[in-house]
This record gives sequence, C-alpha cells and structure tokens, in this order.
Amino acid sequence: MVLGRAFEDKCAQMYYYRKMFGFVHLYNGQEAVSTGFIKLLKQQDSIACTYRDHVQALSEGIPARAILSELLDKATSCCRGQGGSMHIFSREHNMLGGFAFIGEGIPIGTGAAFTSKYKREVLKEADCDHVTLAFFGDGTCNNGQFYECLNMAALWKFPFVFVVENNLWAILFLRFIRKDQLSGCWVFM
Amino acid sequence: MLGIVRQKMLEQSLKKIPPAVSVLRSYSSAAKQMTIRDALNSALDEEMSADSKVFLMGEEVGEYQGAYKITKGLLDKYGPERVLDTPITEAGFTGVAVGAAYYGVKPVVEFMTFNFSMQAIDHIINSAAKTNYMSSGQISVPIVFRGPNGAAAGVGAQHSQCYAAWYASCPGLKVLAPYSSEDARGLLKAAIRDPDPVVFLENELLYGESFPVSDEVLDSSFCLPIGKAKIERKGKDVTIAAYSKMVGYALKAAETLEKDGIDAEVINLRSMRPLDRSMINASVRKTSRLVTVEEAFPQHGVGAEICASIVEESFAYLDAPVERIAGADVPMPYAANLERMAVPQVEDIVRAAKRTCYRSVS
Repeated sequence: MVLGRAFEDKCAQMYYYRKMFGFVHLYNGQEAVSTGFIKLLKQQDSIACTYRDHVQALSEGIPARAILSELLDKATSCCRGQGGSMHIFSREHNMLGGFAFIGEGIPIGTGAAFTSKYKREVLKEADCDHVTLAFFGDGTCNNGQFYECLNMAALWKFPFVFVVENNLWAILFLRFIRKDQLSGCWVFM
Repeated sequence: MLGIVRQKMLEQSLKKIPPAVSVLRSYSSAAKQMTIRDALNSALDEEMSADSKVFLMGEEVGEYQGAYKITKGLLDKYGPERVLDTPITEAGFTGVAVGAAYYGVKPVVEFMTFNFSMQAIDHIINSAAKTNYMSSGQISVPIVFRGPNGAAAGVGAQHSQCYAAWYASCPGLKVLAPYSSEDARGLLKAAIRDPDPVVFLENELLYGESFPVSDEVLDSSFCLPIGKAKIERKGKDVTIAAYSKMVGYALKAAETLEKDGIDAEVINLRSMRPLDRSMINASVRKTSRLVTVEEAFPQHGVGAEICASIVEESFAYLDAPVERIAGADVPMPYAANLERMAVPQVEDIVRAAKRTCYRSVS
C-alpha cells in the first residue's frame, strides 16, 4: 500500500514536471481495496482492471521500475512503451490489463474465469482452481457489460469476483448528483 | 524517384512469388459437390475434434443447431461445455471469449450477422486486435469471429452492411472472406489454427450453394494460407478483383465479356487483411486494366485500398483508370427493386470492364 501511494505520488510529480504525458489515472486513497484482495491471490490467479491500474500491477508483483519505465516511454519497460499507463499487461504475473473503456475489463476477466472452469471440466486439468478478479469503479455499474457479465457468471458459475471500488466519482461526476439504482441486487461496495 | 525504387523492390519480390494458379488443380479428381454450409460445418467439426481447446460460442449455436445451421450436430457431438448458447449479449460474450483466448483456449464466436458485431466491436478491436501489440507480444489472442456479412435478401438497412473494410483497416486483425466451399473449409481451418484474431466474413446467400471439392480439400488436414488470393480465371485483357459473392458475379461477367472478345482475369481476394498486393499488382501489370468489385459502401472501401496499391506500385502499367464497383452509397433499402439497384449486378461489372478497354458500353 505504501509502495502504491509513493508510486502514484511520483507519477503525479513526473506528470507536473512534464516527464509523463497523455492519460495518467492515479489510485491515491484506494490502495487498500486492491492490495487487500490481491494479497490473497495465488500466482496463477488473474486480474483485469480499468485504466486505473498502476497499483494493481504493483500488487501483482510487476516491478515498480518496469511500470514507471512504461510510463516514461522506455523500451525496457513491461510493455516496451507500447501499452502506456492505461494498458499494463503481464503474462508472467497474470495481469490481463489495463483497459481504457469503462466496463471493458469485466468481460475479459469473466473470460479468464471461464477458461479456469474449461480447463478443469473439459481439458481435465483437475488441479486448476484459478480465480479471476475484475476491479472497476462505481460509475462502471451503469454500463451494460457489467450486468451482462453478472448474468453470465451466475448462469455458468464462473470462479469470478466483481470488485466495485466506490470512490464516489464517475469520471468527473460526483455520485450524489448521478441517478442510478441497483434495485433487487445485492451490491457490496 | 522513390516510385522507381519502390517499383524495383516490388519487382524483386514478384520474382519470388510461386505460380499464381492454385496447386490444388494438379490434385483435383472427379468433382464431389459440397455446399458452403457443409464446408463450414465440417471444418468446425474437424478442428474441434483435433484440438479440445477449440470451442464455439454464440446465439443459437447449440440447441437450435445454428441460426443458419452452420453448427448443426456439434452440440450433440461435443456437449454444452464446448458449444455454448449465449444470452443475447454480444458485448458481454465477445469480451468473455476474448478473455478466454488470452489464456490459450480457442473460441470461435458466431455473430448471427456481422451487423451485430457492432455491439461487440470494442472487444474485437480494442481487446482482441490490439492486445498483442499493447502487451508487446506477451498475450496473443487465438480467436475467430465468424458469421454472415453483407447484404442478404430484403432484410433492410440494419441487417445488410458489409464490414470487410472496417475490420481490414485495423492492424492486429486478419480478415478473410471465402467464396467457394474450398475457400470456406481451408480458410476457416486456417483461421482456427491461427494464433491471432481472425474476422471470418461469410455470406448468407452462399450458404446453400454447391461447389466442386477435390479429395485434397476434403482431407482433415487441408488448410489454405492466409494472405493469398486465388486466380479463379486466367485472362489477359482486364483484371477483375472481387471477394465473397461478387467473385461469382465476376466470373459470370467474364463469360459475357468473352463473347465480346475481352479475356478477363478474375481474382478471388480471399483475404482482405493481409491483402495480397503482390498478386493483384502482378495481374494488373499483365493486363494493364483493373476493375474492383464489392457489395459494400464505396467510400474508404476495399476497392479504394486496392486502387491505392496499384497507383503506388504499378501506376506506369495502367492503360486506363481503375474502375471501382461497389454498393450504392445509401443505407440498404427494403423494397426488392430498390435493393437490386443498391448492389452491383453482373451487367455493372461487364460495363466497367468494357470502359477500361475503351469499348462502347451500349
């Protein structure tokens, strides 16, 4: 958590010094959520996030140097400068990205959970018990893909956890102004 | 100056191209007939049998045996874990399939028509096509998106669009469009075996058409290379390049043109991305005239890209401007007479070919 906070503060500093460009989304104040979840995962479990993905990547074990290098356009970084802040991928650490579009990572994570079940039941890898987590914000709960994947994950019983990080903001809209309602659902936020 | 250098480089690469005529001709025995539907079904069956990582996903692919019966019998053979009937959630299930492909299983996603792929296009482009690049090669996405594309009959504007140009413009995707049963079998097998995302554009009106297939095509190991076009008819006066259903129209136009003494060469593109620029340029350098044919909207289309390729590589060889035949620049009308006017007909291809030969078109 401390590493996450220090990392994000450094990103902010680099951004204001004009060393870092484009889109950068910081995770200050939310560190506890993903750090807590990811600490409980095994190496083979996977995660998918939104564009606010630096600290999840750190928690997954991707070296801070590799991530910061990516943000500073270095070829020696985790994605050779080809992904950027919003698209941190690591096959080794089972970090499935890093997606720009709200809600995009949820079906991807659901697909990874599908594969876990497929490997166990169809490919007969009996020891496969991988779990997938998708991290996203409260604003994403307005998106159709969230509901589509809730439906499919329940229908086909995937080993999948939807983690809603309620930071009270949807892009630039404060939650209390926004009208949304999830009636009839259990929602843990 | 740069043009000359580029042309010389293309000539070097053209010298290395194997004979344009399909080598399958030499293996061809007596013609068995096979419909496109059976060709696709058998290709799916064989690939699922050979590799247990291949699975199908889509609306009505299981219990209903496929909206167009392409997946007939596969649910009974492989079970519901490998033939998944999805809810009506293109964005959701396409994303699920892409996420599964990140982990090395091989989904074949069916869109009831590619018009519905627009609901899922974010996942096709952003999660599938771009991921190998964004992850600098760490994650590959061995997924196939297949389904009928383009105009059908009387289905109206929202069910009739051709998506070849849209998908073929995106780096990271491969885009295929079969014409014959040989194409359907060979290209679908190649698509399923390919480690990259492939968009496989079928044609609803061709599903029931039969084509002759040789024993080699029927073999379960048969596969066609991605990125290679096929010369369906050799000629010397004008090149007609087309894909999917328009290949059949081009062949009929070639028969009509032959009676007028024009010997047309018909190229079946097969692959929109990668586009077989070498073969098209080699053909145009031989004939000096080109007609491109597509059912899709004209602006920014496949024909426009081919025309640009010819201008860049073979401009000095042209004896006439390139003729581009495409669908009308309107949303597809519903009425049958208007629909007929909105898609290319054989007469349009004949007229265009005659124009390139500076013949009277009356």
